[in-house]
Amino acid sequence: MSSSDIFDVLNIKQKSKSPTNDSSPGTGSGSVGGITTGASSTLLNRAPKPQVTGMQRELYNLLGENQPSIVIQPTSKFKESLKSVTKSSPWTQARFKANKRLVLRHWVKGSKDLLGEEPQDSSFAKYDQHMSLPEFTKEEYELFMAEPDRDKKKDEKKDTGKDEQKDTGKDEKKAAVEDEQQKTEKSEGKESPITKETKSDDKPNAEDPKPDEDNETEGNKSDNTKPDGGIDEQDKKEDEASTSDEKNNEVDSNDKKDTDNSSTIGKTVGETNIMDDKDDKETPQEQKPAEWTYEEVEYLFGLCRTYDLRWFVISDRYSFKGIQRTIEELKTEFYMVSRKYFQSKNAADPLLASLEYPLDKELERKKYLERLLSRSAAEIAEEEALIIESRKFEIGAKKMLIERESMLRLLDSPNSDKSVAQHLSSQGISQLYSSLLADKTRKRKHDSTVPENPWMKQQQQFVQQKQQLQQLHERKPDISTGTKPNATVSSSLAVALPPNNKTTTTSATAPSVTASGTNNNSNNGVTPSVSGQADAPPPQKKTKKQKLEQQTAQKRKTDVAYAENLLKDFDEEEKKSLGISMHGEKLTPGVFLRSTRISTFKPALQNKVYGVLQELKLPIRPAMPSKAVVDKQEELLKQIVVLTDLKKTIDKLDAEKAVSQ
Amino acid sequence: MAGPSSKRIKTISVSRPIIYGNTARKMGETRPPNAPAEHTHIWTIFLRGPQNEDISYYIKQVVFKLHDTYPNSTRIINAPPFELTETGWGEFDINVKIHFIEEANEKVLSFYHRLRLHPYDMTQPSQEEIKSIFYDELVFNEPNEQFFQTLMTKPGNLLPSNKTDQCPFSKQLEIEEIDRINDGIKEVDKQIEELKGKVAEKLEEKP
Repeated sequence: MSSSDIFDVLNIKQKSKSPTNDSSPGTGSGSVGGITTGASSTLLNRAPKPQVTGMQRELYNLLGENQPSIVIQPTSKFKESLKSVTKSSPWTQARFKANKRLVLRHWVKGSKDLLGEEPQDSSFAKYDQHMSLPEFTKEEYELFMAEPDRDKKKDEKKDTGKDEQKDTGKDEKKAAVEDEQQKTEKSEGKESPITKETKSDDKPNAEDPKPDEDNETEGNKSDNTKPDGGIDEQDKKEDEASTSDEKNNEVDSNDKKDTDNSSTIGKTVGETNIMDDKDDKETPQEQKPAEWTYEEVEYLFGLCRTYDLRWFVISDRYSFKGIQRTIEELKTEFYMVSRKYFQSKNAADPLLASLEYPLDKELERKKYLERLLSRSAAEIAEEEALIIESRKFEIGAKKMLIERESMLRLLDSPNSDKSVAQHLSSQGISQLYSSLLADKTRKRKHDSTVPENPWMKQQQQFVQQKQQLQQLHERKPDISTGTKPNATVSSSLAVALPPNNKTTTTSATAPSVTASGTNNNSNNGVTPSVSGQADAPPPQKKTKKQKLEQQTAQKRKTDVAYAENLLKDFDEEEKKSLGISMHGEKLTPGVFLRSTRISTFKPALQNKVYGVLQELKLPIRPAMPSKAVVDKQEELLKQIVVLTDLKKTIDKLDAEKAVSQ
Repeated sequence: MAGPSSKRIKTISVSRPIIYGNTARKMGETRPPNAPAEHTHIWTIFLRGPQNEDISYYIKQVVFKLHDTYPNSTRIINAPPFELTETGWGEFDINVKIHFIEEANEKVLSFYHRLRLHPYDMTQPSQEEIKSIFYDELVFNEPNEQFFQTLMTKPGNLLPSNKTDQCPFSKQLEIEEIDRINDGIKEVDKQIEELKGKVAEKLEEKP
């Protein structure tokens, strides 16, 4: 919509300059250009009809004739120049002492004047700690090597029980001990918190005797102990890259040892044979292919010092007159010598025990690791698969146990084949309740044990029988070759055999077997041992359940005896008139109506039974449910059930016949 | 469980015969004064020994629970004779609860009796007394010693030797009953034999 449209709508006559403002190339368009180009100079206004788009144009057109005389000029939008007031801080490439000899440069904040010309110590210098290993002259060496290694034997005994894991830990400890000694020696020692830590880890009283003795050694051979620094510097050159702090060293050494072990396994494969041979030998000195000379020991200690007891490096660099030594040999010698050294210093040093190197254990450990790591991918996969499989089995077994338990619980629950009707009366309910309660207690007892496996039971029975038979067969020749093949002996066997042949090991038969045996014992002096031994096993091998059965039977017997004792004054007639009866069955104690104890069946069967009873013109409930009648009724019902079963089979056969035809 | 708790004697059960049931009669002109107008019968429910002997030495109380429409529908009888006479017009189940003496330490025995007012044969209305009487036995399984002694004081299991109109339940009836059942068993056995033969036949046919 343009202004002309509005004019049209309002019926205002235009000034007849142009029909539309849009198309006019006059002043209108010029000013349009002025707005759109914005920053450009006003000269551009003259440019022919610059494109105006969007709302702007429409808004502009609304102005109609009254176009502004002044062109609006937007201000420039350039970025303002930075007006930062802060001064730049100076950084200088200052020199610093990487170690005692080496001077390097690094960038430090601060001006040159501030730092001064002196090369500063590196902030990491404090971590550059080294162990000081004992040093000795040849005379000293020979002196203390001559001493008997009494601790060694004691420690060997002690160490045999310890596992390899401990031993690796021990190496660390040894290093720490060494280190600690160095610390006490060093008067100028900058004690870092880490070294303090190691100290506190060790027994504090160990520190006390050390300085004295170490001072002594220093006095003796000050030239040897002091120039630690020189050696240190050498160290640095050798393994420049590892200017790691001591803590790292300690922590790493764990992994390092393991990884090193694995890496050297390949290296030492050739040597394993030698090592295996050495396993048998007692002391490390005996197993040396070449005797250790003082020079070699000194060389070894030098290497140890140089490489901070990094054994794999040491063994790699080791080349003394072409003697081949395994890493274990080196270690053994090192620890043996240093132990003797410290022993000569202070025999009661409590840290001496930590200088133990159980060679056998180490070799064993290595072998184990080797075997573990030399497994092929297939073997590893197989192992994993086996583990997974075993897990599965475990889970499956657990599940099965639970399922079986629940199944047993279901089986244990009261039979549902009886009609519900008998539980409808309050008496019935109370009976049901009591029976359920009894069930519950029984179940609880049952839960404690694993559900019995019927197959296992069967198996056990078979095994038992077999053993019994075997024993009997073993006995038989004895008897026949015995002094007198008595007639009673064979008869006793005949008595003993049949029960064994039967597939029963119930408590009922077992005692009978023993009874027959003992009877024979008393009758016949010739075969006491025979029958006695042959029959003895069964009662011993009774399962828990059988024992329980026997117990309950025993209890029942005493109960019966008690009851009989009570009733001994009454004769049969009196008993009947008093309504007393003895029963063998297990009935829940309590009162009930005789008629409620007549058997009932599943509804379908019940109806059939009723049908049969009706056919026989007998009442469903006997008119006079006395004991005798009810017993008879039970008999009848049993027969009726058999009858209905037969009817069912006949129906089934008929149906089959019909199908086959 | 209150009361004297003493050991139960295992493997022994003591039974006591009881007779329970109801008699009913149509009310004629002689209506009890408080009987509602719609009541047509007068009946008596009872629980007693077979020969009306004393049973109170082991039964303390009998509770008859009548239909809810009766006022005070729970009737408690504390002393022999354990019976209740009422009027009514309909048959219903009466819940009988027997409470035993304290020393028995037994639970309440509860059972139902269907009140009968009408003869089975409705076609010939008779003015005679209607009887619905049952014989049953209370079996005290494994009673405790004290109660056992109490029960031993009286030969409660005695039955009359011959049937009488007064009491049909007797040794005679018992024998008759047994004979009848025996006949039934014989019959069933016969049928079983027949069926067995049939099954054998069919099995032979099959292959």
